[in-house]
Amino acid sequence: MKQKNYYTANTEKWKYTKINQFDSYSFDFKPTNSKVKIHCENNEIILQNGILNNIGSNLLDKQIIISNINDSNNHAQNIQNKLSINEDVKFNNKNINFYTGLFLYIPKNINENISIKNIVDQGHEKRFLNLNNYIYIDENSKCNITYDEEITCSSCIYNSYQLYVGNNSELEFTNINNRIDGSKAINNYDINMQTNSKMTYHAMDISGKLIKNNYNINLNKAGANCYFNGLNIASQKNYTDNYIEIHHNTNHTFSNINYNIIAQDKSQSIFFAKTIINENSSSCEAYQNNKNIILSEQALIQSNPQLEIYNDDVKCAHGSTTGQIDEEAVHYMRTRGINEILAKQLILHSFLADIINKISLKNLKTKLNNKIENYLKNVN
Amino acid sequence: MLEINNLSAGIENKKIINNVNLKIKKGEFHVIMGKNGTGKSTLGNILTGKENYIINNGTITFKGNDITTLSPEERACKGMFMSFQYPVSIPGVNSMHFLRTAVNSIRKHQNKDEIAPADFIKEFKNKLNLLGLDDDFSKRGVNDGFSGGEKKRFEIIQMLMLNPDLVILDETDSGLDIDALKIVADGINSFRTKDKSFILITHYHRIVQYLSPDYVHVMLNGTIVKSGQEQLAIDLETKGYDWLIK
Repeated sequence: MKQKNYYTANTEKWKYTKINQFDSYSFDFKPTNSKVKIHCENNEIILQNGILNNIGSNLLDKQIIISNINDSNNHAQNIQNKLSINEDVKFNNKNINFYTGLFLYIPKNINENISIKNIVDQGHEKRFLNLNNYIYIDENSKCNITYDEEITCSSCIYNSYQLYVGNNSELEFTNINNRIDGSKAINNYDINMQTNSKMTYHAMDISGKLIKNNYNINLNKAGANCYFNGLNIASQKNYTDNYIEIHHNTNHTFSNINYNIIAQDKSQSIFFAKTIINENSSSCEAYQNNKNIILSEQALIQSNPQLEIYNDDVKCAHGSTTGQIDEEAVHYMRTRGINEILAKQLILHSFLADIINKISLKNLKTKLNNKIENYLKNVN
Repeated sequence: MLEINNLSAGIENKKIINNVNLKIKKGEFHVIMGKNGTGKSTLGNILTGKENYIINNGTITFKGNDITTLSPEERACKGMFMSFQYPVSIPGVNSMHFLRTAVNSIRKHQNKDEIAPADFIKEFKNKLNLLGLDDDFSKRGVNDGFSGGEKKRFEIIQMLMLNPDLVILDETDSGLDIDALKIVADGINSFRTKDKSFILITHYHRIVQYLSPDYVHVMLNGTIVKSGQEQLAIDLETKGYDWLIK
């Protein structure tokens, strides 16, 4: 089995987050399977501790394959052995045991909205629950997937996502990291995009004691378009580290990253993006834009937008801005009767809504806007 | 409505306003003219409670109460409004949402219920049309990407929506073409009643002629050196300010 070697301290994606802090952790938490079915909406998939629990009625009978990852090998055979499921990944020389995770196969010519909820009610502070989620969108399909984790116990979670977007397919994927409970998460994403495929990814890193996201996005075939949008509200002593690597592996590929961060208290948030345009990849476009607002002297934001361009026929731009709230804008609003706290909240909400409003699902957009509005009530 | 007595104020160690006295009754329209940098805008900023200005002496009484210690939002809620010379852009903050929040903040202070969204939208669109702006403005960020003239019109729309009792218009005529000037002046006139008071800060008679003020004051070096009626604005247009400097 091919061993992936990028989960060690020597790699760039672990430049800011000290990987050695996990030396005392193990990656072997094995949840027990509950037989009780949890209520499920029509387009919902419910996982409990990464184990498939229930499937919404709308998702049945459409040739969509939904199973536990460890039961997926038969299905993988059916879809022409296209899959190489992660079984032996190492994390800083520790074995990761993937006992759980979702296998989701969307066949050709399907148009579907799917909401995946992982309810975590078993866990351990020093033992990672490991999920290996594999989502495969076959040709000519259009899919909108939301992934949300609801955590009710103290835990740490290691998510390995593999997303495949087939020829002429579109995937809009929203991942909500709202770990108000203080759980920790390491998320590794391997994303492969094929001819004329489009992916719009929304990383909603609303809150979390420690969130480490590593994205590895491959634009493998001409016409692959990747829009990566993200936001992070870092507060208290929370820590978020995003490492986004996009590879333009061929001609006529497009990528655009927009990531907004608000950091307050003693929080830290890191944006590190690297877009690589290969020597043989002509007529590519790549953009990176990172905007940050820092609300306290103790908060820290690291911004590192990088472009590595090995071809002359490209259009690229990258930028980063970091500042405080515009006091002139706050004064202007106050002269209209809006109190100082509300004025700041309006400015901050707008800053984040800039990202949220890129989500196409109206209900989800409203839900996230409400969530953020509540969250910003604590900002002073 | 407003009474300024012996007001001296400035920023850090610099004295800008020097012993200003001004009394504005209900329904009166006052114009303040003067050279660049004589403290006209500073007076407006001090009246609306901008931080960083230090009042060394004197009092500001609005509707019978001393307001010198009140915050900008408290003054706005009590009925004071300033149309800015350079309205700040707030990208991302939706104009309509901003204005509805402002209207509701003031209504809350007056113990009134929030305005129904449909009523607000209807009224807002009416005002946009009155000032010759497209409905699309409601979707744009506050002053974001607005031209100079659009910003000034949007200030007047805010005035009409917030319904203040005292309006300070800081060079609302600057940057407007002749047609826009007439539209803005009509907007201001439509708001005039026997209960509303105005202070217009300007350099030119061209807007004054549309507004028929009750009084015209000349401010030089932070002090009001001469007061009169509209004729004074006409005289300034032809003579300049030198004849007023002793």
